Amino acid sequence: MIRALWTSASGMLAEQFNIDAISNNLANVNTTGFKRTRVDFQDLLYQTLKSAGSSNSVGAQIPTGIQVGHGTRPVATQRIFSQGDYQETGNPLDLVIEGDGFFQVLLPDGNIAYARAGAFKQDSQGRIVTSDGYVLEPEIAIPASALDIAISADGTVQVSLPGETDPRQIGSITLAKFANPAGLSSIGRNLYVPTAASGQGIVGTPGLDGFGTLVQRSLEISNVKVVEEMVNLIVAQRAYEINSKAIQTADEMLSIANNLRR
Amino acid sequence: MVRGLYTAALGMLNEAMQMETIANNLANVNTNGYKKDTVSFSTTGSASQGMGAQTTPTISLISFYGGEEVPSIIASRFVTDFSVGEIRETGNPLDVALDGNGFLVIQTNKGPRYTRNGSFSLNASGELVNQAGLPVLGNNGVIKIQGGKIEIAASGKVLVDGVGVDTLKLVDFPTPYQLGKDGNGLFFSTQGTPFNLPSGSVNVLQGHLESANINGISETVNMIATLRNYEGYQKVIQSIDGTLEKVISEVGRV
Repeated sequence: MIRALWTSASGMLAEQFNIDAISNNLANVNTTGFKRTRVDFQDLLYQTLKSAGSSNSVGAQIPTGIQVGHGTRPVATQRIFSQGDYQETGNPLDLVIEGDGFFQVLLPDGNIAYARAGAFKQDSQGRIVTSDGYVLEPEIAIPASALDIAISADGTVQVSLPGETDPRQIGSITLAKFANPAGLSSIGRNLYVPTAASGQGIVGTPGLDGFGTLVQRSLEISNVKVVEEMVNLIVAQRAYEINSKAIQTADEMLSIANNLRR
Repeated sequence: MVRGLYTAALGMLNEAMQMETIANNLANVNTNGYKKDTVSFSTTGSASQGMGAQTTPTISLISFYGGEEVPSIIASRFVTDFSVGEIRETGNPLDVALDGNGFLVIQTNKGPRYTRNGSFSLNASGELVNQAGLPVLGNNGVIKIQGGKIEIAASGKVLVDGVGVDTLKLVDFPTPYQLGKDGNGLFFSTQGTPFNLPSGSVNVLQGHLESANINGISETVNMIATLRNYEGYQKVIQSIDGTLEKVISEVGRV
């Protein structure tokens, strides 16, 4: 009986965790380059009260044993790296990766972080930086006199300068990809860092070796689908509710047992 | 008289077991590929003839609870319902659902384990693993995926950038299934050996997951019934107790 109480409590905790994850997805519905997460659950260990295959009192073999489960637990928060929709912005430093790959960003501590969000800006030295001022790797500085910036699908950055007829190439944006992007660790600010599970980033040219291509003057919006999240929210809330009912029932049964002796 | 007391007590224990099973089903209502457990009760003549030569997978709870002497006991049938759960679309290329009977095979250090939960991922070396990090087996062992686009065909064939790498190992067991649960959504075979499914007998759906096959309504109804049965046994015990009390305190007075 006490088992049922704890089993249902594990269900409530799991659903609470699920709602936490869904809330975070919904909170980031307008975050550029955000990738939604999904919580995966697994059933907990089973207590075997009678093992299958053992013999009963009259010597017949028992085909299915008695196993009582102990509830559920969240086993993974999986980030789903499906492509988000595009939003055209007209801003020359807004980039979308169409396909696989991440932008590389230099953190102030010297490490590289990875991002899908391509809302870049220029800093005082003309370098391409993220909204937080982290410099895009490889570093590309745009001359102050540049009239126009053109970034091609393969990452080549060209600027038109006054008095020059041909655009001048000032650098190339490279992308990184991972054996297991779902294993990346989120550090907030739309950035990810590699872990042992994701493997190290493999750097390459957009459009080659399975890397995605770049689209200028657009942003990749969050891949959160509000309807889907709302349905998940309903399911999670109702599952929470039904588990609380199971706790109430178990409690009532305990009370009945306590009242056996009048 | 006193026998009835034990029978009712056993009934309470059975209902408590039922409640534990329902609680576990409800806790796993959002666990992909979870298969619900059911406990059903039947009255049999006596403990000694309870199991006999029956072919149905019936287990006498009386032997579990120790005593063998109580007549008219309630035997219990404890089975896992392997019906297919609702299949829903997720759009994630590494999610796999099986449309039809069968199991995916996971390699563990205790030997192969079988699952209906196809929520897979890749590890750092590019191997297809489940959410616990255990490798998913193909017909040629662990499936390694190097490259970009992953497609899984209805036959279970895994294609990376259009090139076939391996085929998901799909097995089934002779019915009725005699499988135990190992936690983490995994099953192990207690009797009977798995056989490879002939191609075409099951459809592998990429980008889909199978939900738990739990029906909230029927579980809630079962929960109410369990509670009230439990209460009923309590009343039986209380009235037997009352009768005994009368026997002891009043009959002697005549």
